[in-house]
Amino acid sequence: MSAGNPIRVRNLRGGYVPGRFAIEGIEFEVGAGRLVAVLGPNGGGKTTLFRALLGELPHQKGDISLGERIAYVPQTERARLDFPVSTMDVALMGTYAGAPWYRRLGSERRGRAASALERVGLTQHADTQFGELSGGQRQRALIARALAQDARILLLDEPLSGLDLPSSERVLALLRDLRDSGAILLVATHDIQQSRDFDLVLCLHGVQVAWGVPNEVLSADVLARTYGGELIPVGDGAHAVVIQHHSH
Amino acid sequence: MIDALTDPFAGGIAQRALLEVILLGAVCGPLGTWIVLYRQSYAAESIAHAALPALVLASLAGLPLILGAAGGLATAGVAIAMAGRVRGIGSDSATAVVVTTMFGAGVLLALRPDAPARLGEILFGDPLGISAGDLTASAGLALAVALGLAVLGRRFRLVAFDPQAATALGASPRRTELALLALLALTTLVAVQALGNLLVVALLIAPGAAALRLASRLPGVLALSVFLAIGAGIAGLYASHYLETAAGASIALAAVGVFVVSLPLGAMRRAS
Repeated sequence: MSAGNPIRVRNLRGGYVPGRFAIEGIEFEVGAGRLVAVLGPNGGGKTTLFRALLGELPHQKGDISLGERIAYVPQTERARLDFPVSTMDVALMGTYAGAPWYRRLGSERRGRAASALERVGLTQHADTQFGELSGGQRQRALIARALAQDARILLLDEPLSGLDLPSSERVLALLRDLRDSGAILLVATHDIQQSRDFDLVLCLHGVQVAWGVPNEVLSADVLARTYGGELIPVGDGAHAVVIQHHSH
Repeated sequence: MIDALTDPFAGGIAQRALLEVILLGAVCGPLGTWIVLYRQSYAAESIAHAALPALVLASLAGLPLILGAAGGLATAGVAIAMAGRVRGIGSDSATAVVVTTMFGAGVLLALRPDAPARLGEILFGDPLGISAGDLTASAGLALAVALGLAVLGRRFRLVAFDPQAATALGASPRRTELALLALLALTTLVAVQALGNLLVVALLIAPGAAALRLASRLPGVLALSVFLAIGAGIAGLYASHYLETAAGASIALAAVGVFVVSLPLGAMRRAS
């Protein structure tokens, strides 16, 4: 393993109940400026892996080494649309850590939030109610909150879920832009076709099925082992469609 | 006109009641807003009702109701936590079992032949019965709740908006929700004397729910909830004076009235 890589995971296993592992045998490392697809079926361990990386998994073993600050970007579908906050308020949430409770947030923190909104192209919507944004804009606002945390490692939970095509493309362009600036983005996704455009792919089905560049990893055999019965082969067998029984 | 406004508060009893409802409004408004945002209104009702047997016992023993409320809330909290640990019982079921058990025990105690004459006060409150000592205790507890709300405000915001990401942002959802319930228990302790075991929920929930319909940003919502809760308290005291109705019930009805008025106003705001 390279000591210089910001993410290094070795023999990671863990879960929510002692002795019962939801993920096992996870081992990978990622250098700066990489866009990583985390593929797997529902219940395959994508969210569990993210929780382990965030240090929130109740029971875990193995080694995780993170050389940069990490942030989590949840699915926008789960955000509270009725919550009385503006887009700027959401970005500011990324600056709360360490802020004294008895003081108003200072200009440095406000500047950081404003820069994050500018980075995701939402400056003109800073005063818009979060619930009034489109799905793609809400996703970008949540990414701005992560950027305001000064995080260089972003864990994104199905960021394109429920978005229309133009919004998806805009969010993907933003992810590539962040990647090009040196950030590491781990993106949980069901979209096998989309993941072919990522730099690296991690396939999970409780255990780590495969890890590497998409051209080498996304074979029919790997996809079948990753998705099992949820996968329908299409055409030459190297392409497939995932049947989603539910989303969460 | 001025006389009509000042007459109800000419005496010491009414002045203490006025101060009490101002204190209650200042904490019930913002706390209730968070309770509604966390969808914990059932917990608010449950915590208040579960204190009934201890309130009755305190009344039988001639102790201050505030002591009974403290004992009742502590017992209910422990019982709910223990019931929640029983395999196969969720927290909602545990709360329902404990609350109905404790409320039933409270009613049995209250219906004994030697039941306290203060049963009505326990159930429905009596802000006009507040003594100077009660007021001092209420002020201390209200200050503690207000301080807790100020210290925890940003954590409340992080967890209520996005519990999934809250830990990574520096706020533990579990601890934050426990802190909210602790503040709820303290507030119930403050409010139970003035509004009683049954009516305290109205001032806790209605002003916050109304403010959420009428304002779009959290600071505005919290400020408005204080204004509406204090307004409902004062309106209830006026109604009690001029209509000769029970003060606690009048305050509860005024709070509910505020919420009812907020329904069309909120709909108009959203449509505009």
